[in-house]
Amino acid sequence: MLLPSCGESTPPDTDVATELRALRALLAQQQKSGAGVQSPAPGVADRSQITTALQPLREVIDGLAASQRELQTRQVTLTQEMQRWSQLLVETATGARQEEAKAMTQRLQQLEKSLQEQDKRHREVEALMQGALERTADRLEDFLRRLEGTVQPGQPPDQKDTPASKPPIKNGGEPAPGSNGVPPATGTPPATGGGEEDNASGSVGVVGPPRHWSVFWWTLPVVLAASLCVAFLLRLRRLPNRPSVAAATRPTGPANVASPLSRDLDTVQEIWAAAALLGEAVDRLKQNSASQQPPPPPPPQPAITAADGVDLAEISVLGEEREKRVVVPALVAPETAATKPAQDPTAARPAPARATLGPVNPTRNTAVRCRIPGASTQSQAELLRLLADDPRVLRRPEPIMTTTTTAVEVAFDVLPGLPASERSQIEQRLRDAVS
Amino acid sequence: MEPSPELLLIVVIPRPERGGSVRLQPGGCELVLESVRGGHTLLWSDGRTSRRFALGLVDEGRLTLELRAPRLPVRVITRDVISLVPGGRLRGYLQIPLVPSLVWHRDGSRPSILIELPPRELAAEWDDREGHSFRCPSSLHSRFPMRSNDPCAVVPVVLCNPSGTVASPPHVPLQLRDAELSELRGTVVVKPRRLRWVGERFAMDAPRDGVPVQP
Repeated sequence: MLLPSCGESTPPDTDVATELRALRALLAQQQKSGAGVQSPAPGVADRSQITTALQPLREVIDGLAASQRELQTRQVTLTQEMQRWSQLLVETATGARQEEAKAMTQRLQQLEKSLQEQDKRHREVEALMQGALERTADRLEDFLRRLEGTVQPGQPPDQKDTPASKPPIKNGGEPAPGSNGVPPATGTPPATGGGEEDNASGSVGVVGPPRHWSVFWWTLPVVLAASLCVAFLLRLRRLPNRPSVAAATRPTGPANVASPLSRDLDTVQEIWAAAALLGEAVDRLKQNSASQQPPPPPPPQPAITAADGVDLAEISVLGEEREKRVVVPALVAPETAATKPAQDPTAARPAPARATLGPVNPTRNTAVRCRIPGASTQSQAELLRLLADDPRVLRRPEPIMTTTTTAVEVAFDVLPGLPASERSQIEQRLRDAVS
Repeated sequence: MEPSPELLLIVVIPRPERGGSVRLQPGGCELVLESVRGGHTLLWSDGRTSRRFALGLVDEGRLTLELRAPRLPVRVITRDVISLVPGGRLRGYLQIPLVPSLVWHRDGSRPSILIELPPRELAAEWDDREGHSFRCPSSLHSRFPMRSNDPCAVVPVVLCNPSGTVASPPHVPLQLRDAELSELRGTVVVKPRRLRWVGERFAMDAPRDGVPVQP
């Protein structure tokens, strides 16, 4: 019942005023006429008349009060919403966002710096490992030659070897006793001389241990043992497939002689074959490391957490985000069957035909590009406002503006099925706004 | 001419005499059709912007201004946050803006839309998954909305959540058809919609007359 009274505000106001005027006139008349003669019970009749007279007024006032309450509620809601919007706008414009952006930028710089340090360390370790592998290969060759020398005892060891490859494998590969497995540091000779070490070990030391072993010298026996194991495993696998390796490496003279040393000769041949395979493996490692050197080193693929406490997962995430930011969004998405939306095919009411384009095209072929010469940076905001206010222009994807030296190129999408005249009218509105 | 207190789906625009004009105020807009030498001009204004159209009409036929349903699916963004517990149900009314359209009728042929005047509240957008759609805000009224001059359709909705998780939908998908628009209490209403939460979106049940509706 209240809705009609709420909707129409002017006629009830007039009625109320009329009712009030009539009531006042009636009261004044009653007071004048009843001044001389006081009726014994004036209150009862007057009250009923007043109640009757005020009945429509009460309904109207109730309706007005209800309407007022609703308007007040709406006003409060709108005010709160406006406050939220203004607060959001203020937060976006200034304040914590900028500080947060600065903090994020600093954090990004720190992460990039730590990434560079990690990369540098990785390169150093790679170089050390490569050197250790080379030395291991040299020492392995020397070791094999010496083993061959055990077959021919009279032959002296090769004197052309490098000093690092001269000592026997036990002295060169194993740390000195009493060093807890840690090799002596580079350039700092051990306290005991080479002769004492030889005496203590009691091995067949031909040459004393060198004094210039590197810090990573202790890795050599480990790498050597691992290499030998790998070589033997590879050989066991490949020998049936590659009999030529053994045949090529088999020495001619002593092998054909049926002598007591035939077992030793077979062992030597096996070791030679293993050495050949190991050499191949070392060469491959060298080639791989050489091929990886010229281009910029790849980012380290580290453990979960680096030594300096920087979580490198964050770096990868930041890198991905950076890549995402770099990607330029395509202006027009390719039209595929998967992107076709479902459309209401028909309507029961006599469907009016479109004036120009007919039925709605479900695919996105609604991109409009226009070039506006002479548009300045200030006019771009006006163009964007015009496009945002126009309900014929799609809100998403957003209009894109490309500024050149002479013009501004605007790309936007319009409603599907929009007549060509309206498209050109939008373009003309943009041009008019600039000119 | 005073604004019409009731929304009418179809308003016949009388053809003005030569040199005369006809003024209409559908909703919050204003239309002025003038008969000038050589044709007709139509001036449309919504209080903020105005557009002018030049029409070439013939004597046989009539011109109507119709409130039509949006041609694209509509995503109604409710101003109130909706949360439905598992098994929960919510009833209310949504308001969707209608599109005033100038339609030309001629005997023996299909009516043709000459001009569409989409309201500002209907923001069109493209989504790679859903395609073209409209987006409009609306309050979820618990009672039938008050009558107003805005050209909107009142959609009774029933939202239910038969799933086992709490539903907090980002929007309510609706698709209206011109045939289901009807006038009631001076407003335009459509048949009630019943939407079920199926995980990440609403699925629409068939309306009561059994006609399936695309969400």
